[in-house]
Amino acid sequence: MHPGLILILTGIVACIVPSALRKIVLPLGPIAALVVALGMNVGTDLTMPFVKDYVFHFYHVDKLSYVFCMIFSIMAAVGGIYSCHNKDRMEALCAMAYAGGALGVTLAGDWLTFIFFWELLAVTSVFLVWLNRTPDSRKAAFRYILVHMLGGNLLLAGIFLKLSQGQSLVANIVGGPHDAAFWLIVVGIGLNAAIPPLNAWLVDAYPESTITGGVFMSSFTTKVAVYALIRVLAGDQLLMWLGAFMALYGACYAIMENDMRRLLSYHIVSQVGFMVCGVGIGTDMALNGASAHAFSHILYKSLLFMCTGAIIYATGIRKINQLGGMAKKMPFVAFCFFIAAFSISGVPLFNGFISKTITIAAAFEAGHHTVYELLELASVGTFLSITLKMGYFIFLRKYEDVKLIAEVPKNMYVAMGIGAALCTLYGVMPDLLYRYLPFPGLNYHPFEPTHVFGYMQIFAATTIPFIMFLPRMEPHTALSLDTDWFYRKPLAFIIYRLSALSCALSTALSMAWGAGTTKVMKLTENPMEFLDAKPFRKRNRFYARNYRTAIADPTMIILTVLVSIIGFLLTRLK
Amino acid sequence: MDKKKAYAICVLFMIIGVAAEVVCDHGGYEVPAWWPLPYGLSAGMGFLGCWVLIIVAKLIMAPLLQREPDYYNEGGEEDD
Repeated sequence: MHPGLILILTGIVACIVPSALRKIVLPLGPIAALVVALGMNVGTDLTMPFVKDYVFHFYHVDKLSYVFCMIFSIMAAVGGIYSCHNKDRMEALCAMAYAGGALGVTLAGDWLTFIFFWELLAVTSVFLVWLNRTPDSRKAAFRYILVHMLGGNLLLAGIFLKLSQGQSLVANIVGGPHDAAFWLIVVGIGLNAAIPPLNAWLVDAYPESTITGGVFMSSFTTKVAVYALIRVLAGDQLLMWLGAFMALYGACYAIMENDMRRLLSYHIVSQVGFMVCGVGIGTDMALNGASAHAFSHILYKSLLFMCTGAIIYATGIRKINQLGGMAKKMPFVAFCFFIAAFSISGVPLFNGFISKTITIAAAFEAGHHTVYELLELASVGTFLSITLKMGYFIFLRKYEDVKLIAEVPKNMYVAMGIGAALCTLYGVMPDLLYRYLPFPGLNYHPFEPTHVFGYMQIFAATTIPFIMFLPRMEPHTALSLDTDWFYRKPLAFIIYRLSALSCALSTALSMAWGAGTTKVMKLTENPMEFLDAKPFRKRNRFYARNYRTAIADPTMIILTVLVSIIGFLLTRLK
Repeated sequence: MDKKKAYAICVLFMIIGVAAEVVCDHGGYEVPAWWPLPYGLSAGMGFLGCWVLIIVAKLIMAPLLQREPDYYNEGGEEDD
């Protein structure tokens, strides 16, 4: 059975059953999907005929789809455990259908199946923002769905062009013509991968999502896009440079950011940059690096979102400058956070180290030394803004003003514990991941001594400027402008002015129409006015009495006519 | 922990890292002969890179790009 359908069914069942049963359904459904995903046979291709000669390939398993299905299923299970206390039925449905959509895209072998599940991702994920039920989340969800409708439609247009060229299977298009179809697909997938300048939807919507929804969102949309990039656009050099730029772009914004989940969202942009860069380099090693890093990223990023979600749940606070001393108040959350922070930073023995460094090494091996340096610099930024900045200001500094207002449910702790265990397990035993990597010939040993000691130097050296700059490192409450400024300010202004102009035109036209109608009505009340008779012209205003004639006039007319007729008849009779 | 201790620990780790690099060969992947990888390059990269990022983010980007939190809703005007 299709593991994505199992997740969608899980969502439907979770939506129907009472909350006591939902606590069982939400973890068990994804675990069943994980078992099915692990049991998939590479090479399986289930098909179903559609109109004319078109055939749906809805269950196409190869090594690439296998490794992504595995991590998506693991994440759905961890997310299911984290969110099973939720009372919101709709959120349970949307979260599971969202995860199911991710698996659907991964197993799609043809373009129509691909776009169907791609759109399912957008439609279901918007509710994870909307259901936070705040004014900001409502607005962010509207912007999110508008941007994704644009991206989805561009991708759909590209797919239709590909279908018209007779290409129905999802395959690499870099070697083909760089025509309109190519660029539409690049922009459509690039938008979901949050490649700047198409990244603003992510940092706009993710911080506004529900606590549990954010965990799902951090794991699926961008990683599905990375899967699609590996499948469709591997080896496109433009992506290599965009990826390196992304990695630094996200890191720089994260240093400025004050909102915990917005900061983490910028680091999704940064970390996906490593993957996009790997896709652009296009060698087997780089593509394995991109796949491995997507796998690791889902584990540690979801763990970071789970930890910050637990803090928000317990304190109601999102801003870093309003937090502090959380290591004493929430020690288990602090423990899990630092495991995730070490993982994302690439500290040896944690899973980010065994995956991120493959891409960096691949850039070096392929002779892209500038890209190599840029990625190393982005790693410095990651360590600076997550391990040092978030770690110090949220957990380690002395600050007594934070009060715990709610107790974190036990299932959230369990999910965080599983996430932390997986980050460490894959970090210590990289072969558990490397054996599933899709491209052949990976000869990479992350624990080479100079490699490990090199990273030790980087982290120690990065800490010194942080301490020197500590008073200025504390973020303050401010909003950082991103590319969404273009559609939230100038474009909104233009649309506002255009709609004001059209409203004014509409009002003027309706007033003119109304005035004309009134005039016509007045005239038709008394057709005599058309005759422009002198007695009427003397009077300025219309009064019915002015138009009445004396009773003698019609009487005399009738009598005259009558007499004339009688006279005529008498003459005739004679 | 005071700042001096923190600096001392960082410097100690850096010295251990560089010393270990001297003792071991360059490893992990093939290094072309023309590509300079002096000992302690990673430490220099971490130190200078961190300064560069802090300067770019805090001193250049923040003044240019940061606004009041209600920037998009100022004057009560809806932005969507």
